[in-house]
Amino acid sequence: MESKTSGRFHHYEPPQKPPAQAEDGSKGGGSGQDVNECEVPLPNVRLEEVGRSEYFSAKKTVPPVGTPVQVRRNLVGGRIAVEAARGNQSIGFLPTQYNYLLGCLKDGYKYKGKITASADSPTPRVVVDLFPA
Amino acid sequence: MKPKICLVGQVVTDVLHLKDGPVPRLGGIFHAAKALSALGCDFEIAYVAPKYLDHEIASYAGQLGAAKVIKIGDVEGCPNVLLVGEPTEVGSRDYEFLLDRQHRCYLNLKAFENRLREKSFSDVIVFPGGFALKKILLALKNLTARIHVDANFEPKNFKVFEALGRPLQTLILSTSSDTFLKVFKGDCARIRRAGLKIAQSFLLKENRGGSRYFRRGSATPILVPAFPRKIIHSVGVGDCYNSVFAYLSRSMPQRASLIYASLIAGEYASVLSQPLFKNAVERTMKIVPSEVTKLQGVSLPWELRRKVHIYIAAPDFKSADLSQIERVVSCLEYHNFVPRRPVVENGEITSQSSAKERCTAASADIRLLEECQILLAIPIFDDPGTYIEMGLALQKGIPVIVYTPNRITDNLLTYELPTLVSSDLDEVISELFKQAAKIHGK
Repeated sequence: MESKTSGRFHHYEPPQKPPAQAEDGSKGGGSGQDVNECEVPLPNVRLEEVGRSEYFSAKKTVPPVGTPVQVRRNLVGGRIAVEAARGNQSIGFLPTQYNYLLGCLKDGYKYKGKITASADSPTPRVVVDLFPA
Repeated sequence: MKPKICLVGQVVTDVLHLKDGPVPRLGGIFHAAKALSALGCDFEIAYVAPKYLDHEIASYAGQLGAAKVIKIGDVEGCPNVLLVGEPTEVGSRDYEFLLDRQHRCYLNLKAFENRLREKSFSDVIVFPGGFALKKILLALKNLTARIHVDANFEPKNFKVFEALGRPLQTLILSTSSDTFLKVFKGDCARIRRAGLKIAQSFLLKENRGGSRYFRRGSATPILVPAFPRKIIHSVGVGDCYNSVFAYLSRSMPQRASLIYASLIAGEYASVLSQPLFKNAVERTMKIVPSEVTKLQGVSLPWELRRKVHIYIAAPDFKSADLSQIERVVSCLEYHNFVPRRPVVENGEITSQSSAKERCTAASADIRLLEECQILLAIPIFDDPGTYIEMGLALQKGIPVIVYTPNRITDNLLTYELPTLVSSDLDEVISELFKQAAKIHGK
């Protein structure tokens, strides 16, 4: 019979090594446990309120796939906005579970990426990949 | 007076069962201590624990920067080990406190009382449970410090607080506590009245629906949103919230203090490493109060959740293994939502059912869907009825969330059209809160 032991208290664990540099230039990611959350890439994020964004209001369409985007540093109506890198019009909000990024932004982190999927109907939708820059 | 906080309570060994195996941590008042340490607050701890933990406690408290550590009671007959089976609180938490009925605590308050006589604390936070609260309150009686009590576990009867001879500064309670659910039957108005009889203010924490801060002389509570995010545990998160609020409310407005406390509690739940948590706290405190108070989160008070009816679209048939569906239903009830199960409510149609029975059941299911604000699909296997109900709900503008515990769904529109498709129940519950809060906000 195999028995499991839990060794010693968790606070004795050695300090975490910084995450390794990934091929895309971002710094890591992984299990989501005990890594610096500011350095974790954010793939496949579906933006919210796309139909009410500055971009959609002005152009009546969503930006095409491949459009470079970045996270705006200041809140828009209490939300973290993603904007087109050219023109700086917001194209939607990050879901509120990413609110922790506000602290990362204050700490000097920047997030850039591109649109990986977008559609005007049945409701305007935009999906982005973001990476700490 | 520069804030100096004394934490009073038990130290236990928490054992979290995470994916990579069991993680033992010093818990109890250490959760609050870790938050105060991360904020750079001056603090001391007065604890009860079994002897075998004393060395670890002194050592770790020192690492965290506690100015003084006083043992106020010995625990015998019980190792003070808390096994945590369901660390993320998607539903009712599965705790086991080993040998709890053998737990005996022998208080010795002499050193603590001597320390209190020096009157150096601005605030004392008491976490009752496992010791005679009345004796602690009597020791605190002549203190001018603000006394905050987290009554999540004890006491069940607030009469004991009369021993303090004055109102508490803050009584703190969670909607997950037995006191709220059983003693006060989940009645928010009743518990608010009872809380404000014995305290200047009453903080009701409502899990992923945020929290409410009631004050004597004010009819309007401060609503504090929750900021749900991916978490890895929920143990001690409330204690972290309490201590951050008690500390920050000394130097900033209550609303801002509560919002920082909520954000920092979220950080605590998402990491185990203290250095990473400390970095996250420092980052959070770089957000200025005027900005933090604008940050949108989820606010959905407990009693309003009874108005949120959730249509369970699933092969909820007698012949199927219903354990996954029942787990979800139990989680929804734990959070005070109203799950509606069409097959259970309107009957199961079989190949022997008559045309009339089929017609009646179909109409009843559609009426039931129209009574619901959200549809939660649980395709435990490919079931055409579930997909048709999803399509119908989407057509009616009802938000559709899909929980796929067995990851069997690869249909294009099933993935593309719903608000969320996930095999992670934690994520599904958070999204339900978000959608329900949005509907309530309208």
